[in-house]
Amino acid sequence: MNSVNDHKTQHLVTLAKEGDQSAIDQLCRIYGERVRRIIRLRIDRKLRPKIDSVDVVQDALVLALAGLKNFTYRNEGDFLRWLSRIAENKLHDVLDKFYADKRDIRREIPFKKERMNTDGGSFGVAGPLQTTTPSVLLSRKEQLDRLEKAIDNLKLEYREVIFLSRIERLSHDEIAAKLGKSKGAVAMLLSRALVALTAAYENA
Amino acid sequence: MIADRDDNKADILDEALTQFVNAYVRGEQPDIDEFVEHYPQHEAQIRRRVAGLCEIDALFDSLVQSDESDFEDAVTGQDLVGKKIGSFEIVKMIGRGGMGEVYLARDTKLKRSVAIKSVPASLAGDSTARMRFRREAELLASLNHPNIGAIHDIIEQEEGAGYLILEYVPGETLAQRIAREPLKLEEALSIGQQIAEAVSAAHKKGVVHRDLKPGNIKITPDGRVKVLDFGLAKAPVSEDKSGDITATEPGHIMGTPAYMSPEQTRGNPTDHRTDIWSFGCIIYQMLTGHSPFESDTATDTLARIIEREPNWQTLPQETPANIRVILRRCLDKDPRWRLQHIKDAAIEIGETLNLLAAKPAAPARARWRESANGGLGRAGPGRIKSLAVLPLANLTGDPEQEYFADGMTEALIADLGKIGALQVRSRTSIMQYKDVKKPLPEIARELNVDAVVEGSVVRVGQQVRISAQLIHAPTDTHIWVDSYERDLRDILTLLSEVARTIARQIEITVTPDQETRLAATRPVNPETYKAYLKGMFHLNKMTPEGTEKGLDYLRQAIEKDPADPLAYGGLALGYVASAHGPGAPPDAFARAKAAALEALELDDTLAEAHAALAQIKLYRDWDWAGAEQAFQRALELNPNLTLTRAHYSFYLLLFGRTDEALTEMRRVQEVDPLVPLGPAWQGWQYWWAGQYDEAINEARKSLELDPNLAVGLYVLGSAYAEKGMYEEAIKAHQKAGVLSRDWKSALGRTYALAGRQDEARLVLAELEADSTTWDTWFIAQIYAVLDEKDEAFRWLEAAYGPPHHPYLPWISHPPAFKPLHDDPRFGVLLHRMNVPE
Repeated sequence: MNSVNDHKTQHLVTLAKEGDQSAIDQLCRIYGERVRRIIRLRIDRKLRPKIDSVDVVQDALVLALAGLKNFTYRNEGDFLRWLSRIAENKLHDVLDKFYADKRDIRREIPFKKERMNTDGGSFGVAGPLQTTTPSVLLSRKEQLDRLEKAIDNLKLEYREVIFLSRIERLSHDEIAAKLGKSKGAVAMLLSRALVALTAAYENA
Repeated sequence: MIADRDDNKADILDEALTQFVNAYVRGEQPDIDEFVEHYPQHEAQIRRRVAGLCEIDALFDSLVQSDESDFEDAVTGQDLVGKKIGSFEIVKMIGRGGMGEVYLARDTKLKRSVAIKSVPASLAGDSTARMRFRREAELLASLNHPNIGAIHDIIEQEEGAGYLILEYVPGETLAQRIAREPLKLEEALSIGQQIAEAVSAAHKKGVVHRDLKPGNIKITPDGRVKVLDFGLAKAPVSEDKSGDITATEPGHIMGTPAYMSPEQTRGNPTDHRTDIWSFGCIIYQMLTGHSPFESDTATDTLARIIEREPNWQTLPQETPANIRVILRRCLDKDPRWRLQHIKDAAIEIGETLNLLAAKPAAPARARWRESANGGLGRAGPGRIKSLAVLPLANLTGDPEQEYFADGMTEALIADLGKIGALQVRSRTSIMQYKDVKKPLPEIARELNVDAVVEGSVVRVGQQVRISAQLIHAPTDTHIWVDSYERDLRDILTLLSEVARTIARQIEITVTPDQETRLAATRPVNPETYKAYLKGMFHLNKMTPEGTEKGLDYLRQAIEKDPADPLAYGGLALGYVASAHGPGAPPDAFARAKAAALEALELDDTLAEAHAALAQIKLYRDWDWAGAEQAFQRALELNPNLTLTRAHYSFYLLLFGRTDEALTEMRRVQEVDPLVPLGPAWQGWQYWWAGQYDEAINEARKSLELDPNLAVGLYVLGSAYAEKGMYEEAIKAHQKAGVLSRDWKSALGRTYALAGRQDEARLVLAELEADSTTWDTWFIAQIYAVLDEKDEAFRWLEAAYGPPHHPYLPWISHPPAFKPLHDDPRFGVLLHRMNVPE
């Protein structure tokens, strides 16, 4: 995580709050695809064709921009976290509607339906094993598609802990509190999940 | 066995990896080289898997982190300025929009300005999306319309970059225009009409905008409206497996929430009707200055779109009612009930603009404002004592469904009519306004009502949707507006609900009895009910063919459901109507009576059936006590049955209750000021009562409403004749005779009174040549004036029938029969009819 870029995001957020259209566009450009990818990972593969992640993200962006004045930038990554939460809530709404008459096929990761929390908190452990810059990786569509497939093949428990750790960037303590497990158990669960994921990724 | 060994191997590998990863996730920095030494046989796999894990973690990182190049990307667009793409020189950036940057460029070949939009780079790798994008561009190219921003070309470069070459439209956006200063009604409508035309042209080609908003509508300096970004905003979600093909980047905001349709907001499939909703939002915003579902946060906006009605009160006072209706229809939350074709809005707005152009707008507006501020204030409850239900619009666009809309109008009138404290204009009065474009206040003035109900009906299969609004007429202010949707079976409940809601809105007193009757509805058999409505539709045409056809449908209705009181009631009224005129079928009254009794057997609160029975007793049975009872019951059940009241008035006259009769007829006129028969009949009564000046006055009133009303001319001439003004009398009666053979006899009598016997006898000869029951009563009058009493009584005997001439009991009244009063035969005749002398 580099704070220079986060600082730039913060600057764009300030401009966007003042109604600067170009700043808004830039924020959307930078974070839109990221949030979309996150959302796609959230959705079960069977549902992916049925739910337009672009729509979800766009709706989330619309909501985010409208609520921008209530957003305070305190910590690194706050903006994306905030945006992702909105997108997730939006996805919940979409899924709720989708499942309204199809309860039986509900299979997405049961993430918590909590409302946005702008307090944030730290992202927790940052991955030290970065091989290339995020934006370059982001452009690697095939890799992300593989990741989607790999995640699809994981059991629910694994998917959840990966999300909490790698997307929501919760610390092991936070995850432990959430899941009602010990910190050590979380580390072990996460390790197994990541191992399973890499195996699946290899074959995807 | 081999499988087992493989599994075993995998388990060991996974376990080893888990240990390594566990150290890693706990924040330690395990050494991979040191680690693989423990598992030499798995080294390759372990290294590969750890590399994979690194890759995955980096991918996760890329999702949650941004980096330098993100921000660099964001400004690269600027670099295009000064560069050349094809034959286009980029002059400057004019915007960053949903699709990337927009540049103003110079077309060096055609020497014109163009707008160039860069195409999202993300499309580059996706051939399906690119194809779709091209198809959309092709569609846009096919939309050759003056109000649509045109596309000139697409340029696709090898490295995946693509550019749209678009018509450059100078001027401000509608969003800027609205923000600058409020739009005048005409201006807003003119812009709205052009938008509607543009969208309509696109819809015809199957192109849906999906992101219609003031921000992508431009107004050129010469006032032309151009809708931009057609077909480019968003491709529909495909049904195929990827489901995520889109012509745009996710990073850009598409539907601006303020203009999103409820189905868009819900993420449901959308079609052209989503544009119609957005169009409604735009019109609303132009008229009020703010979007209909505007709120502080997008969340609230979205919730409002789904849950709330726009605040219709904020529309400017001068907003014409038909525009309000169109707006309501555009902003119907259910696309099935929404306005289906935006062309209809274009037409409606066009007509309204013509109407506004035709009359001086400023004074009119000043007048509304004056009345709105001049102490009258908002349409206060309690002020409304009379109202008119204007013909409900048939929104199906199918003329075959006209009967249904008319039937609903009539049924609503009937229901509202049941509220005693409310004067409701009759069907006859209001039908004159069918398809008539007139400002509501004017209509209300003409009908002399405080309020107007107008609305629309759509029937799709078994579902009926009624939208209605109540408008305080003098101020043209909306008091209430709502939509109802119900199965055709429950249509009567629906109508009763509408009526009761209106009563509540205007806080008019509904007695417990009336309330009970309104509430007492029953389900209908849809097929029977439709046949009933068709029957009434044709009966109401008041033509011999219409009556025949109408009776036919009613008989069909009864065949379908022999227990339907409405159909019997309609049949009774139909037969009674056909029994009145000349050429009446001899058994019409008898059939009418049978139907009326059957109807009452099934539902004794059916006002129409009592009304039919009253007329039968008055005109055929000469059952005076029974007639009065039936009249009173009918009028108690529905005080607004004006025709019935008119007949009741004649009943009162027969028994010498002249003042009461005149009062009742006056009320008929009040309730139906535009029905020319009202003053004609009132004049007739004055004439019989010997008040000739009043008679002339009323007759003239009827002729103002309809210069060709034969009965009006008959009364006018007859009153003149009584005053010795024969020239005027002959003139009026000549015209009456030309208009209708039924009134030819009048001229004969007037000639006789004027002493022009030869001419009188000529008329007589003509009448006697082929006389009907109808003529007998009139021929007798001529002979009476000619002092040929035998002949007069001979013809009165013929009038006695059977069948009875309906007017015979009144022979004591017309001045024409005065010469016979002293003859003993006259008293005998009265005695036979059991009427007072």
